[in-house]
Amino acid sequence: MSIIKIEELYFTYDGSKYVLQKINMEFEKGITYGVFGKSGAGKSTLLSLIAGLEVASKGKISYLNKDLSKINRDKYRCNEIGVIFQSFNLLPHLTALENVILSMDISDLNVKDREKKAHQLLNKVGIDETKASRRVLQLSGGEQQRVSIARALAYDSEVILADEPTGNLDKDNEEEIINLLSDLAHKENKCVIIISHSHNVKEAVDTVYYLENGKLKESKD
Amino acid sequence: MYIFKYAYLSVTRNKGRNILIGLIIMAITISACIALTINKSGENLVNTYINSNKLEITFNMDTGIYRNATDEEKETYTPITIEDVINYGDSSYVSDYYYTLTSSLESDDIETVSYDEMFQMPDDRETDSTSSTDTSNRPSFGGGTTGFSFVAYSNQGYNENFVDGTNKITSGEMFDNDSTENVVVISSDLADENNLEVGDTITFYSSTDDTITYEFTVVGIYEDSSTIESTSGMGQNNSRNTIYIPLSIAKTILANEDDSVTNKGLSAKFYLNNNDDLDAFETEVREKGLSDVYTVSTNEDEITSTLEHIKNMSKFSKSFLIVVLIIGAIILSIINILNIRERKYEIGVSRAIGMTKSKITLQLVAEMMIVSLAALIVGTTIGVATSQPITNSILASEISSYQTESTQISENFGGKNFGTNTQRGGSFTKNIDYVDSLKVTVSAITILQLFLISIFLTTVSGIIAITFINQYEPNKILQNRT
Ligand SMILES: Nc1ncnc2c1ncn2[C@@H]1O[C@H](COP(=O)(O)OP(=O)(O)OP(=O)(O)O)[C@@H](O)[C@H]1O
Ligand SMILES: [Mg+2]
Repeated sequence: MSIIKIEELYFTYDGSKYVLQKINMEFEKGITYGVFGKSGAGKSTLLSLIAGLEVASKGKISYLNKDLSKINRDKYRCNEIGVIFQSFNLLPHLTALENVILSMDISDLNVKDREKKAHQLLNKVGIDETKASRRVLQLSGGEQQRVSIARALAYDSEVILADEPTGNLDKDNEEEIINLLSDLAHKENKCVIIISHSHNVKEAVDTVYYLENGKLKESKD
Repeated sequence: MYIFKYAYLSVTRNKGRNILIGLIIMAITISACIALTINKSGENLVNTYINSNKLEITFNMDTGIYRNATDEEKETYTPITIEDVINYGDSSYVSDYYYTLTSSLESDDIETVSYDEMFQMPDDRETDSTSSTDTSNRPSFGGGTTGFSFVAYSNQGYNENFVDGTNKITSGEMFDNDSTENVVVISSDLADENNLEVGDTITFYSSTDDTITYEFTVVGIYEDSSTIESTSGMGQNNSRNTIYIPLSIAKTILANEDDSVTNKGLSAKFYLNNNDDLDAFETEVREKGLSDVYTVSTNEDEITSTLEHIKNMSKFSKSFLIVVLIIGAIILSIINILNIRERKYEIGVSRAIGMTKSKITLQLVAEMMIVSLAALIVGTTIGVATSQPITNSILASEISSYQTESTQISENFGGKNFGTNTQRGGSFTKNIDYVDSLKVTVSAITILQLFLISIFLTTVSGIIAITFINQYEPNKILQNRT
């Protein structure tokens, strides 16, 4: 059974031009998905819609058969999906560690010893304790990106949405992140959706989607 | 609740911004604190002063009403009699009352103490003899046989001049007020003028009917220490010509006169158990038959006249407080809106990771509270510390401007027109002890009020600003930040 189902989705920002048209997609647990396409194709827009940050103009997106436009999307965002934003969206006045703990605090998940768990997550993405206690603006772009990944994993959500998670990373780091996300799907039975331009990601994911000018072009290599 | 942890972190991590906001709130608080303290202390002082001084209530004929009344109406206006006074005084509201009977008699045996004998005024003499219109306005100056003022108190305890020491018996003694003998107490000036001593007798006759005569024995002579300026000075109104007589004798004299004279000679004052009962007392007195032509008046203005500058300051501080609060509210709202606009990104991110609008609102309000509470504590401390010296300096300038004004009034009158103010001759020049120190006290209630005011201001301006931002979806905020 699919965890996320997109049916006949249309979306427009300004009411005139559709950024996404006639999208039908299904996502299941335990599988990694890759969404590819040219810049401006509508990938981040699709992610916003799945994340409940935007609402479909036409058609619907459902999570476990519940229409996203009808549920409490705050609760959905803080519990059910973890988002790695293209532009990180970290809180600048907080440290890396605090950014991760904040997401645990917001979620309804009862995490014990949050600081320890946050450190473990940061360690996994290669942020050591000294860096973890720095304000995020004092970290490099790639480091911020990894903090953002750790944050998305902090509350054990069923779905992970990643927008260019390896965009600022070198080859070694990219591989580590890809492995991390693959393990989430394959070992922890999460649904992992990755938006990327990277060839390495395309190689690693189980299912590939292509977006072209807001339309889906299903194909598999 | 984790919200407060992040509110605290946000405040301490954005020190510069919050110190700036705090300083502005502090400035508003200090001003409000000073204004509020001065206002409260002033009001308290005026109230205590009024409450510790019993109001003096009098019933005065309203000449305006009387003049405009028709003849029939005039018939219905019944003048107040001694019986009425006793009847009015018999009330649960009244703690005490007294009345005085004033009459005037003439004599061929002795002469009044005239003004010019004590104080040469050649100019006045000239006008007096040349101008006929002037003489009608002023009682004659040249001494002679103009009437003497006979005064009796229903209760000698209210004979103010003797109570406050302006008059002192220097020879003989004060008569028993219940005495039915024709005895008098006269001033030393009058005694000297006419070579009188205790034990001498003087014959007086009624100014309306010279066949009615009275023979009085002098039993006491008093020294009048009031200065020339502070007495009315002229003819009958010269306090040196006041002759004190027992109550029953005064009643006899007035009984021999016709009604209009009798009633004019009566003047009564009432004191209440509680100054707040004034209205109830008036209602009661009206029911007992006090005519509409009489108005009820009190000496509240006189009591508080020495506090005029404090009242002014209290009033001024209240207006100042209102201005401070309005400007403060506007400034705070603007700061909050700017502050929140600046933090759009932060709010957008918080919303994107699932924080609800209400929690974000709570966090922002909590942050404002932390800043304003800190500013409030510092501001109140500074405000309390500075309000006393500031009060003193404002009071000092108020008093000096007030004293100049009062000297001016007395110069304007030149002591001459005080004759009209028979009840309290020259009260303007009476040495008014201005209340020249106002002990500023900051009560817990004042501080609580301040806290509530600023918490209210913070919350309101915060909520205005937050509603402003919360109408957008998180993506919009993130996409439109700049
Ligand atoms: N807020 C917005 N208002 C109007 N148009 C927008 C808005 N955001 C994005 N768009 C437009 O929608 C289209 C899709 O944008 P989107 O960000 O989804 O592209 P993308 O596939 O993620 O590109 P990239 O690979 O560069 O990140 C683009 O043409 C973009 O200009
Ligand atoms: Mg994108």
